[in-house]
Amino acid sequence: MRITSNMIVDSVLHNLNGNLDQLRILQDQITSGKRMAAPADDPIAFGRALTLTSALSTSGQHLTTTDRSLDWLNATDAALSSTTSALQRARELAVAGANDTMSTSDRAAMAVEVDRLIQEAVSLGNSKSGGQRLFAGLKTDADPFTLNAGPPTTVTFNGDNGVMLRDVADNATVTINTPGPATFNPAFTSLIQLRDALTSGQAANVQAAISSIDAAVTSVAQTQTAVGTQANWIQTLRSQQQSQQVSLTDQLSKTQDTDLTAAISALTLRQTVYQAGLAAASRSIPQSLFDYLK
Amino acid sequence: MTSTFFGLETGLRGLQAQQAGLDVANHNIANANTPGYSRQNVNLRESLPYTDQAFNRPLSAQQIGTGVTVASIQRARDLLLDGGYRTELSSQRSLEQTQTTLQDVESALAPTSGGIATQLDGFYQAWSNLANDPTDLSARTAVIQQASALAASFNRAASQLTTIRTGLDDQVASDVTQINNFATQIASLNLDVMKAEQAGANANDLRDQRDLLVDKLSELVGVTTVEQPNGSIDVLLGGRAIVQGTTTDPLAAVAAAPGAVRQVLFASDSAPATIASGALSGVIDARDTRVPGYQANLDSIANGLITSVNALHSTGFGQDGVSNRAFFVGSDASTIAVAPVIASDPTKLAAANAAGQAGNNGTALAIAQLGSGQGTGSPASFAALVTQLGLDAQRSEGAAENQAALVQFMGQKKQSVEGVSLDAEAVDMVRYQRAYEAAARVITAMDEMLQTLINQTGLAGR
Repeated sequence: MRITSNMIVDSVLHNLNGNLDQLRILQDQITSGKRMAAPADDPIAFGRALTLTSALSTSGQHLTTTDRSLDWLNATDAALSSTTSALQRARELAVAGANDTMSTSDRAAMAVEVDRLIQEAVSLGNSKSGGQRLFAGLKTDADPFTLNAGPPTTVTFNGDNGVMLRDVADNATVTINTPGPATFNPAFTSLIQLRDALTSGQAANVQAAISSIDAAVTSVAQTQTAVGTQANWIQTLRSQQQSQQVSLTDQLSKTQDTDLTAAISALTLRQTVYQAGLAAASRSIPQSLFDYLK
Repeated sequence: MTSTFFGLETGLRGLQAQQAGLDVANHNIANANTPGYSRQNVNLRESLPYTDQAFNRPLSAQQIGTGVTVASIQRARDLLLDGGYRTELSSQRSLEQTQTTLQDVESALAPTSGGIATQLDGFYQAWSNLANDPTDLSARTAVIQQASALAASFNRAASQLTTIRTGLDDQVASDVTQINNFATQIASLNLDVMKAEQAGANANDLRDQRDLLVDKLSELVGVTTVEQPNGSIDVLLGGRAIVQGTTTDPLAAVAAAPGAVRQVLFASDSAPATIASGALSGVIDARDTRVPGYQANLDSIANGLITSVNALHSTGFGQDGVSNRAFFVGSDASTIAVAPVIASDPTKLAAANAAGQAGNNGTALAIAQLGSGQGTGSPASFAALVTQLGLDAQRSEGAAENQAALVQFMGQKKQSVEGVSLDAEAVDMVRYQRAYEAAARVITAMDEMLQTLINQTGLAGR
């Protein structure tokens, strides 16, 4: 093949450009930290990075939902514990009130305290978490329980039996709310029964109220156990979610991040090649026979 | 017998021929970097010999050489290589155009940061957040803000694609103008070549200029050329001549109706022109097939999003207990927007799937779940579109690179034939210079010989 001066210049330029372009790509990869600048650089990995980013976003959202669901369950648990305390205090009063040695005025004083306990229980039934009523079903914007002084004293329920659902993981929808009437009605009824028995002054009636209170305590305790079980289940899902997030982050990083060690050594190699190319070009381009003809 | 002064004439022809050789080398060196220039060779030939009757052999004759003459000056050119080079060049420009367009589409649909993918994630995340507390006004506002940002990013991408397409359509018009321009110049050079060659000379430099124009024309559109005996070339576009001798049949880029894309036609009779390769064919392909394809895909995703979200939202209830409201209005990527009635009042957002339940998150939950699904409008469907685009772009990039390597290779082959080698010219310079010196020396010798003959012989008779 006949070689002309411009052929050498053209191919030197072509190769130097190719090297510079590779250098640019490596510089971009290193400075941006991302292996791909456009989908064409690695279409499958680019699409996968988008999918992983979405999955990571969903997973992060599940963690937020989990935390807020646990807040809700903790608030429910606290309200139930307080209700149990109120019922236990009422039981102590009932045991004392059932004693024949108590005078009518003593019992009347006790009745006043039980009355306060009734109000406390109703207010516990209206507890909120983040502005929403815990025990109102889905009608979370208004107090579910209203105390009617009477006589006879009653508590009406204004909520519903709606079920509050939360997505705490992919394909894992959990219920976080506790039905109000089933949990609180035995407590209200037994407390009202005790107060009325204390007011009436009849020891036998007070005695009868004790067993109602016991039944109410059991009922609250059962609910509390169910809440605890649910919280544990959500905790388990939460730790699964966390390890999934670690794994997703790792996969995403492997998919889209620059392998710095490899990129920097490739850059060093490219730089060497580029410099060698420049050195070779500086020797070959200006040369011709004219340099030697005298 | 030759005449006394015969040798002077031979020497003169020698001087002239060597000078012509030096002149051509000079011309080659001067044009070493001129685009389209092909190196020229001087073809020397012995001039007609003189037949001399010999004294001792009356029946036969001796021929005495009379020196040299410049037979022709030719350019080094391989016409077959030219044709092949132009074909590959046309197809490379077409592939390069496709690649450029796909890069533009990539930056519209998958920008390095933000963009539809990010906004889709944010949108479904906002719904999921709302499902955590449907009574929270700030969560409602966040859903509307995210949805507006998502709609805006769809609108922006759609308008970028439209801009790309409009730009391509403008490119068609300017390419056609350029093609006509080249055709006119080729026709005018045809006339110059014909005039010059009528006298029998080779119009080397005019032909170089004309070939360079055909090369440039081939970058825009694939053409074939047919050389006529009179030295002119006909330039054919899909079998029909756009240049014939000294006349042209210009093209026109005409939009059939206002707003329609331009079609490339022959201006004389409105017959459609065949644009098979070249940058213009890449432009037309991108404008009529590639970009509309991605527009349709993007519109389908926007439409899927509108339809799926609205289907759930319209069965849900706002905080005012009213159902059957659409969340999005519009039908495609350019028209998608949050329904004004929702945008202006976040309480009308339907998070509940039953009226009168403040804590009901049924609809919000269902919409948030669309985000992890595979339906049209989900982040997964958009990722699939981006992957497809990436594959298309990668394929076109690879094809363009391969073709560019082929064009580079053929260009080198052409250069090998046509290009000026300074080394070769240096050698020629030395060659012709030395021969010139020798021819001059012969004339000096002749001069001395005549001096002897005229001034030093016949002295005896003085």
